[in-house]
Amino acid sequence: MTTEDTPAAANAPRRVVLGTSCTIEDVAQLRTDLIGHLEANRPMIIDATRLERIDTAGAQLLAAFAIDCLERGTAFAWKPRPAALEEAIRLLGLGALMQSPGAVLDIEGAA
Amino acid sequence: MTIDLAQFHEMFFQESAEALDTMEQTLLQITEGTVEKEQIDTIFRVAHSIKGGSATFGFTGIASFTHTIETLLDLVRTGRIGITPNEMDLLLRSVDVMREMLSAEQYKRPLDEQAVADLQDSVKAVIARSSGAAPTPVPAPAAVEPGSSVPVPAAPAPAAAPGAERWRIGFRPGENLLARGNDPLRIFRELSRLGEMSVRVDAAGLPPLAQLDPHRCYLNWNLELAGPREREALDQVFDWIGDDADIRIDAPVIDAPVTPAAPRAEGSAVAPKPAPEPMPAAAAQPAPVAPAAVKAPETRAAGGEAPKAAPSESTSIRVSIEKIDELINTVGELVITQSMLSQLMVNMDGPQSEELRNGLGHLERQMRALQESVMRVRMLPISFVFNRFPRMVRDLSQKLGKKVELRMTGEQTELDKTVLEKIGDPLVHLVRNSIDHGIETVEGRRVVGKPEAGTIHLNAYHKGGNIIVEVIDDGAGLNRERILAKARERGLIGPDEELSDDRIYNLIFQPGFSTAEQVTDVSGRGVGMDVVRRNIMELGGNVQIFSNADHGSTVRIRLPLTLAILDGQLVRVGREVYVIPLVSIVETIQIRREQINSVAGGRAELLRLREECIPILRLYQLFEVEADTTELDDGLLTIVESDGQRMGIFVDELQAQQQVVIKSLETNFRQLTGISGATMLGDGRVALILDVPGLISLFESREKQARDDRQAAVRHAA
Amino acid sequence: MATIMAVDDSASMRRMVAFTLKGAGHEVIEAEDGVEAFSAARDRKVDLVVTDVNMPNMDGITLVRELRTLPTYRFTPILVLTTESSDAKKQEGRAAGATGWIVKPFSPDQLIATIRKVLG
Repeated sequence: MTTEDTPAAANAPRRVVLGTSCTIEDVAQLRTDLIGHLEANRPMIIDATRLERIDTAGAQLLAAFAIDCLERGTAFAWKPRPAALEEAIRLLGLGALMQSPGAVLDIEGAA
Repeated sequence: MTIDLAQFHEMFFQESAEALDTMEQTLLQITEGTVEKEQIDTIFRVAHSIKGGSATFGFTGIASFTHTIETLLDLVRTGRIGITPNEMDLLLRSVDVMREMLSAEQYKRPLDEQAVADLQDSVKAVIARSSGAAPTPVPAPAAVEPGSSVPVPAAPAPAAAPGAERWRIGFRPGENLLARGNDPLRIFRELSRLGEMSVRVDAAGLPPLAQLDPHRCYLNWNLELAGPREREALDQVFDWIGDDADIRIDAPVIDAPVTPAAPRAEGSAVAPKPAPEPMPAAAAQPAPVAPAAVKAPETRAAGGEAPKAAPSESTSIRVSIEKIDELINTVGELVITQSMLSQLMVNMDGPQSEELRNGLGHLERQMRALQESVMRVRMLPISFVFNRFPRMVRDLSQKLGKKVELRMTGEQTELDKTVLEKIGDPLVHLVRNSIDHGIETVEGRRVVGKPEAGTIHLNAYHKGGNIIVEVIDDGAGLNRERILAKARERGLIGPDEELSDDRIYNLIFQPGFSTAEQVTDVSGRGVGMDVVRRNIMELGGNVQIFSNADHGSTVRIRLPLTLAILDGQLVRVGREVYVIPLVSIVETIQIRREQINSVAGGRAELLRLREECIPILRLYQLFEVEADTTELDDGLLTIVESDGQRMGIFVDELQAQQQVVIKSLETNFRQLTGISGATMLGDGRVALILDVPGLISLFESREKQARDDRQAAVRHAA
Repeated sequence: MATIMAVDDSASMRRMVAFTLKGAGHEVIEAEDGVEAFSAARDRKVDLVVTDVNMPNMDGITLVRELRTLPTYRFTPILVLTTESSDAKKQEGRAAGATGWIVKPFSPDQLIATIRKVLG
């Protein structure tokens, strides 16, 4: 996972890029990374373009992240949600939890 | 996907045959009463593996039988019964029956079903006795038909109500579910294949990222699944998952005003269910703990006896013997090409000839190494043959009421596969003979002050490019006088001929010679020692017997390491070149005319050499070729020996000594008396390889014929 | 698709498993016992291990336990091949860290169905 930071604007969205795999093998590192992003307190765009594999552990982590974002009032958007992610969300019933808050869609447009 | 399981049958038969050998050998290593843990584990594993395979490949009968055996073995393994002679007998007979069953399947042969059933009943009786009034045999495996469904041994399922539509499933993962590689996502995906599914997640337990253990599942789910009529379909998906998750499957609701399941907090009580406990995991009973009757391996060292070598299980691949022989053949041809090059080099001069010669020297050494490695591929330890003896000695000594202990040493000595296959029967014959005629009865041994149990020692070792296999017994030894009398009676030796003891003992290898006074069931079945000797000689070996009255006898078999190469002496007769195996050459000499005796009336010429008279064979006469000379003192005499008999072979000239490659391993035996095979020489010519034992016996039979004629003539005259 | 290690001392069973899995498009590595499997696992990460229980040298249960000590195999799905008669083995396997089991005898189709629950 990499971050493309735009230092210019303090409130410019951070782009969080997910790798190809988001499974139990990866979640320990991913969790540390996501905590780092959360602490930046900036809107986030989660770029899952490359994501190919995701399992329950990965989906659960992303769900926990989404809930944390909501609780902190941090705006985030998925860009995009590839098929693997969509299927995981559907099968695990995580659709409601992982929805981007409407306001965030604006930053997506801005990014 | 349709897969034809028949393609694995051959492999299954082969490995099962090997597994049964292991089982038998291990059984025979068990000394009465004490079963080593390793031994019973090995036997159990083997039976288990045959059971699994036969069930998988659809051999229901074998699966059922091995299952019964396995149940018995499990009782032994857990220390509930020991192996008394009765169990030992049942198990050994079971090995035989399993062999029968396997070959009946393999070769589509009829099977004595009644014998199988009877033995199985006997085993079951032992099981029933030892597991008390209520035997709880493990369920027998059902052989699967390809494509059929698995009978899941799950808990009783609530019968699906008629018209049932939606199953409600509560799924609460335990701590280890994810860490062990299970994934609700995949499970739900499988469930969703069964019918339309709706999923509700309960994320109440999900902590913030900072407190989250990412390898643990905090989410719970309530699923509703429309579709499958049978509970089994659900059980199959969950199967082991029940161990790591709390799964509640409620009887399907008819009509579907679905009341959303109330989200449950961690640790809240599960609502009482009307259905019996549906979780498969709960049905699993812990296995009874075994009493410690099975000896732990550590106690072995205390026994004082050297630990027996475990049957070696090594990493290997299977290669067909044809492929290996093809390889050997090609290497053989390479060797010929190489020696052809070396021969060309002999007369070569020039600035680079020395370098070329050096290079060829390297090539020659490397070729030899390559050839040796390739030959080694065909080599197998003689234990493959020895292994059949513990059982045989046990059965035979029981039958004859004798006590016999078998000792085996040098089992790891390796032999060419063909030699190995052909040496089995002669060895069986020799061991039978030793038990039947050599070892005395218990009383007989007591009288002469020997221990009650006789010993038969099978020994194998390398000696100077040969393999020696010995069968040594501590029985009564051979009866010199009786053999002598018999030999005279049969006209094998002249009435006044005096022989050394060794020569006398070796007379028993003569055709038709048998001194056993009564034909016993054991060894007197017409196959004599002459057949043993012939078989061994056909392998390029020889056999000798040594005996010591009251102390026993030793039969010593000498076998070539391999049938494919031979250290030979090239000899020339006229324009022909022959190869004499170096192993049989004693010396080569030039002789003087006055050393020769012609026996009156006989065709033989004899050479007097150091108090010995050695018959002379003129090779050019035998093979009807034109020699440089027919005068004995112009040529050379190569003295050869086999079985203690010597002969002088008259040739024109000695040529090089070299290793020759015998072409066509399996077929090139014995097309001609006196010839054991052929080889190609460096210059491309074919040379015949002389069969020394064959030549000697050819010569002897001619002599005997001449002697008989002589005697007939004398009688006629009288 | 995936790389699977098939471990069984019985060549016929191992081949059957390997053949079935290859037919389903997977790459298969074969091992004859626990020792061979473990050393192969150290060299190479696979996506799934399918192992027999009763094997010489190192049995399947020990193999599972050993594999779980390798960082690369901490979460890798491992299925043990067991028989109905060895319920205790199932539990032993689970305690050692096995993902699940396949009950012998099984048909190729059942094998594929079971694999789907832990792969993909």
